[in-house]
Amino acid sequence: MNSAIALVLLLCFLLPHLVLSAPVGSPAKPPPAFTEAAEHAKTLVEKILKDIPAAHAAAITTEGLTLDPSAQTTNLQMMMTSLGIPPAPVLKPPSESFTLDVWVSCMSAGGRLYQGLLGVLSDRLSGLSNLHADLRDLLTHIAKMKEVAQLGEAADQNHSLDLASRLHGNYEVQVAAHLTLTQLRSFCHDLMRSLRASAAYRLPSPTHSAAGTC
Amino acid sequence: MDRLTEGEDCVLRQPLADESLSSFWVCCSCCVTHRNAVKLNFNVSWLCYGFSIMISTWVSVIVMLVAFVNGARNEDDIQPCAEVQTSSSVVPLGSPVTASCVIRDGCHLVIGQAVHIEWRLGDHSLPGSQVANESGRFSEVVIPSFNHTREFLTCCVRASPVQVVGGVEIRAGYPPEAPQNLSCQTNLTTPETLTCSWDPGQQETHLRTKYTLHIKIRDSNENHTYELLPGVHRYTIPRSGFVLFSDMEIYVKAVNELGEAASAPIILEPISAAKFDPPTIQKVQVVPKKYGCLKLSWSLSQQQVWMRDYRFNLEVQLKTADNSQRSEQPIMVSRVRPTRSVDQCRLLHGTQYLVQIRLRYQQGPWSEWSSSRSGVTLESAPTGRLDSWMKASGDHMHKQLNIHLFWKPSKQFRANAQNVSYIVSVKKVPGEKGKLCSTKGNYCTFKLPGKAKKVYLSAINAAGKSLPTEVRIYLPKASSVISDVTVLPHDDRSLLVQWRSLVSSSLTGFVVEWRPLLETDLSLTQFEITDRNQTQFLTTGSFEPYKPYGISVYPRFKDGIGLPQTVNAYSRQKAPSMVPEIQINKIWPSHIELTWEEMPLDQRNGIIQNYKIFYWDKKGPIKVVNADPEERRVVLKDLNAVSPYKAFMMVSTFGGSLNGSTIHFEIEAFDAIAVVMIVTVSGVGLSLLIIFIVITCFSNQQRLKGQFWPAVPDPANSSIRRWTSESTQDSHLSWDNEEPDPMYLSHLSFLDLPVKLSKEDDDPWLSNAEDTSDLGESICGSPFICGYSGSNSDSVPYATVIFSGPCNSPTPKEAHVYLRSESTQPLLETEESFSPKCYHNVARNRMPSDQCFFGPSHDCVPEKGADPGILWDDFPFLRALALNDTQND
Repeated sequence: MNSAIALVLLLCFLLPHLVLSAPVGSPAKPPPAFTEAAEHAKTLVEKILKDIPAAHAAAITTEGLTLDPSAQTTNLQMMMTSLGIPPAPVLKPPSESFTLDVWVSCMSAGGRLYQGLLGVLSDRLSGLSNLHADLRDLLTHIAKMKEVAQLGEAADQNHSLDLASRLHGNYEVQVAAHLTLTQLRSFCHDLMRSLRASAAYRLPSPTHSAAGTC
Repeated sequence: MDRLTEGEDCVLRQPLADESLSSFWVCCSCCVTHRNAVKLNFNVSWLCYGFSIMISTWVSVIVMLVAFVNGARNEDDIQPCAEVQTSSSVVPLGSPVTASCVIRDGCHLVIGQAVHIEWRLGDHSLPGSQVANESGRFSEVVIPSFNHTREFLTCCVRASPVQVVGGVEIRAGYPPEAPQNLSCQTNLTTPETLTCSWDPGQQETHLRTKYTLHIKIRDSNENHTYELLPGVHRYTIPRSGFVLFSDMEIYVKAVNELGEAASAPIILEPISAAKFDPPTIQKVQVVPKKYGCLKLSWSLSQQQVWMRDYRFNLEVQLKTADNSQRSEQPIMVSRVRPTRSVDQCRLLHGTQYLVQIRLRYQQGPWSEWSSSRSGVTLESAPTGRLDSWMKASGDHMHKQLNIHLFWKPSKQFRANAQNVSYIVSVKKVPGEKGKLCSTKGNYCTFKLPGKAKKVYLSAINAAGKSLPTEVRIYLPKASSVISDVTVLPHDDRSLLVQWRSLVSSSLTGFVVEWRPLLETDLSLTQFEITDRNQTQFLTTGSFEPYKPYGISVYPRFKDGIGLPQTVNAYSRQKAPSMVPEIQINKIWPSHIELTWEEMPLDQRNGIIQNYKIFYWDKKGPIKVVNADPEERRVVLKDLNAVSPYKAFMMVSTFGGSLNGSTIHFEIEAFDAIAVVMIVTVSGVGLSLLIIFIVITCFSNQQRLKGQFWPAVPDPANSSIRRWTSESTQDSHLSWDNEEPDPMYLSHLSFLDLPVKLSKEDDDPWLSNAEDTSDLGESICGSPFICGYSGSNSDSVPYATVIFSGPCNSPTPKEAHVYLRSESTQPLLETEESFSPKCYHNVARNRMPSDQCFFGPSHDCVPEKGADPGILWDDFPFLRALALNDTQND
């Protein structure tokens, strides 16, 4: 236990030097605050995954719109295009090729995307506020990860959301909510996988923390 | 700015046709200059403003506006007479308040007269603290301590009556205290909320105090402020207002007109303040090869399973399934993940435990307890000794003792298994040989082998057997040293048994034994062994209320068990469930005996204190008779025979009373049985008397015959001497014993009758021999009563007087018949004479004028044809009687 604390303190002390002064060395274990933020983020993703079915059941009343993929009989690809709901950012576990800052930026971008979508839909439907708040919490912790790791600002995909203007009728609202929740669930699954993988991740040298594109 | 007096007031005049516009402007500016003073506020300024921007407005419009303004000014001339000002309209309670009052010159109340200003606070005037200036139109008052929370301070002018010219409201209170005890709790069930509450402080501010809840999320630097309703000291923040895993700074600010105060801020992570759902125990298992250990697998509720990677603090509550042992305090287990099981050791072996857990995250509130799951620890051989109690009965001289052996685990005994049985053996090492009994219960009955002085008791389970407990066989003794056993209910589940005992050197202690009396199962018998110095014992166990228990105290001697003292007891009593039916046992003319059956034990619900009989009749008051509980009978006395009675019985225990049904009864005037008895006895007595008389008659036939049917001497075959000697003696005796015959002759005369005997066949009286058989009686004792002096002649005729009624009848209804006797025998010449007691002629009243002689009365026909004189001459004796009758009449 004492050795772990000592290691954590050492990492806290050395991390700024690793990032700022770009020392040459092997990849280091992430600082506890980063790990803690990632742990909180993972917990929140689990919570979102647990809340999505309840939110779906509360918000969507149209028959045929179900979270069960096997029961999905309607192809809503065209509706998704017409409603202007963008696809979720591709999220991979951080690696040499998918750098930490890109990873975090992608998580942040996805979170913001669905927070925005849920924000629009929450005005029209009830039962989505918990998810909206959970996504806000998730973004808070992603931002904290970014802050702790002193990651550069990656070029986020700026999804211009004009969903509100396209929600002409209730059916569009229902389909948009269904598509949002479905994609959010998929995105959260990706988040869970990548966050679990990040536990074994070692911080790269600062030279690898150059800003990427999500 | 100078104050305007009424004389200096700007008067807007209606412009004349020849007046220039400039002159109007002068006036207008005048009005503007003094606008505030004279309060020609809105209309005037609006008018001036209109004229300044529209110079070329038509004159007619101006005229109309001026006219309007003029009218408005007249309305504003009604001004308050005074202006009251205070240092502050809201002050701390108890602080000084200063106020001033200025009377306007234009106030019509003060024109041309002295002004005297008074101050009033509410309904009370404020004496002495006013300061007036020279003109008397300004006054100031200082209230040293304003002790009202809200009051009106008014300025008055002394007129008739006193006029209020101005006033102001003053409120007082305290600045708010800082809110205390701010705490927040997160609710993770939908909808997720964070509820904060606090105490506003003890002191009432008396002022409207507004509270605001301030939240700052540190990670996102978000700030939220929630305004709260007055009087509400809690607020529920929606999910959008807090972050689960971020520290938040929270405080409450209280603000009123006298100040503000904020609570000490708290910093919390909402997830740390969450009250989680009760966890679920998945299973409770034994730990292999570890005695006294159980492994608990648990999980969060399904709604909170997303927290499964976090560490929680657990509390484990363990209790044995039979509730005999319970961990006094829950066992704390810190920082465990739901994915990891928890081991609990130091438990009893082979014992079933019920396990409950609860959790909290960090220092948050504890969840509720989970539902319990059971688990059994590994078994081992029983350990410890057993306490035993033995009762022996039977003939020990013939070595046939029946032994009732009871046992119970001592404090040190551990069965170490769920299934344990017990073996009683005469051998120390239990085996089939010498085994007296084997049972899973807590007692055993067996016949003691003749030579055995002790037996051995062992506990056995699947894992082994305990060391044997030696039980010495004590023989019963006839000595008793215990007295005054009393039982007091201590509480619902225990009884206090107290007793006294004589001092005995061989006394080693006592055994208190108790058992439910309504149950016959001996396994319910419990006991406790005490030492010799103890004279009371608190029995504990499952005492059911209203159920009887038999409690016995046995003395233990060195060489045996003495005689017990036994009492019945209840842990709690109530009124009986039933009342026995009253039965009438006996009825007497003035009292009655009532009886009833004994109450069943299960219906008593307590110790019967008494039976009370309430009885009453229509008129009288209700009477009460107490009956001895042991006798179950009562006699109601002094009952009225003519009135029907009602009665009922009340049965009382120490816990209440119950009334029975009412019966009706009536006391009969005559007792039928008594009457039958009396009649029977009387009949028997009478029969005996009759039999006695009959026997007497038969035994004394001759005597009676002589008494009632005296022998009439046959004149033909008798002489007077003989008759007299035989018959008169009896008559004489009879005369002594009976009432004297009331029929007497008043006079007797001797007659000289010619000796002339008629033939018997011709004389009708001979045919009626039975009538004449009582000749002596018919004469009514004439031989003794009448003054018969005897006769000198040998032949004296005599007559017989026949009465139709009895001789002693007071008033003979039939006429007397005189018969002439043909006898010529001398009339009792030899009889001794004695004087009669009295004489009177009882037949005189009915003496007919016509006499009948020598014939029955019904044949009595006066013989008118005969010559009476001849007849009387023939019977001088009878004539003398007739003469005497006549004289008496």
